[in-house]
Amino acid sequence: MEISKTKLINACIVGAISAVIFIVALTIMADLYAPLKKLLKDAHHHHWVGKGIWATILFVIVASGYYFIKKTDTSESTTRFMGALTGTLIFGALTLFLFFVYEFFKH
Amino acid sequence: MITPLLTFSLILHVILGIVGVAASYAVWLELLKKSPSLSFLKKSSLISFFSYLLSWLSGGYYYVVYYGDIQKPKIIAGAYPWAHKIFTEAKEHIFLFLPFAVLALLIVIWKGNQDLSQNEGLRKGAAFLAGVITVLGLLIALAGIIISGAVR
Amino acid sequence: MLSLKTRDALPISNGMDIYLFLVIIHLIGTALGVGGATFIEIFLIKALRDGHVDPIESDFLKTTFTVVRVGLVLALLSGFGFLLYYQLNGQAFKLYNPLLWAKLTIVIIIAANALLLQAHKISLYWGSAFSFVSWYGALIIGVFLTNAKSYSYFEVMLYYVIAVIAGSIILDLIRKSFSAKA
Repeated sequence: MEISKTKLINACIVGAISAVIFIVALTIMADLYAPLKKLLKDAHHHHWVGKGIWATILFVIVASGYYFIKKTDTSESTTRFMGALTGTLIFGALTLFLFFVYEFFKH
Repeated sequence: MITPLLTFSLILHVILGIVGVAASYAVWLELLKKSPSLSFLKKSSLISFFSYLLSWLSGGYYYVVYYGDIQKPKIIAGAYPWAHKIFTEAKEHIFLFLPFAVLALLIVIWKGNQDLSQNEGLRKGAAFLAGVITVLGLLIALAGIIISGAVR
Repeated sequence: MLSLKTRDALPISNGMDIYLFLVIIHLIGTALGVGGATFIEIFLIKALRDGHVDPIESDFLKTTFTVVRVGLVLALLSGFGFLLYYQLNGQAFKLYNPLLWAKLTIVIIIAANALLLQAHKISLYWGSAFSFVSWYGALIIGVFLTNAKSYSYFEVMLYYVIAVIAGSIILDLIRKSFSAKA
């Protein structure tokens, strides 16, 4: 694969990984720290809208940063990054689900 | 009071969500072949991405404008408060993952070209990613049924 | 609440309401799926009489697989259409019907089985049994749902497991008896 194509692919994958991690972290922090949730709501009408907007911004920043900063790239790293994204999705979904189960039984 | 636009948003959200899951399932199924059809993968991944994206937007509109003020209090006060406190909360945030993950998969397929059939590791990695996206989409759809059933 | 049962709600034809439209699409999807699954078994029995599947037989099977997938998509979309209809027409309680959840489980098994067959992670013995029994199982549960029958989720899944085991034995016996005659 050409280096620029590989960099674009890897940039999107890395951007997606960072977006997922950010969503998990922000969701848990906002639920545990009410002023953060209020801040998101005040700035974006609804906290959930704010999370989506900031996750998108982070995706663009991380993906662009990776693409323009990285000099060389390989398809082996694409396979590794895809594995990392898959793992992040599974771990992120489990973390959030278990967090809300915990919150439900705690209250 | 639910308006026709909100009803339309809900219908679009559900139908496009199912189309998204079906399309990512089709990508998964095709990537399990040793020589997947690149044309089929490109079409399916594109349908999957736009379906999840539009489902996200239409569902988001319904959620922000109607669900929070009208349906959420009914569910929490009803016999199944866990439907909101666990399933809606989990669903609304896990769903945020999908457009980014599906976009990444779309770029792998569209820019990866012949590498997907020549590089077995890449193909299997993409298949695994498509599989996780499909399973998450399916679980989100099932959560939607649980939440809807709790609104009495 | 907007009722979707009125004639005016769906501008496709005079008098046809959305519910009837969903029933028709769902029946078409089920017919294609159940019929297709049946013919996959018939074609497999015929193809395996000489012990292998030749290119023409493979082509027939591929076409039938496509028909089954079209049926699955139609049944899925119309099925979720029903769920939306129930929610929008004050019948949300139907979404907690254990028969509905048993049917959803079986539909998921149909899709998972297709993946396992594609990846060669399941034998024909079990793969064909799951496919055949699941389609007929979903059809029968659909009839029960329409006729307000009442069964628990675990009861239905127990019968389903028994049917899959019995189906695998019966289908294998049929295949063997036809290949013995060849």
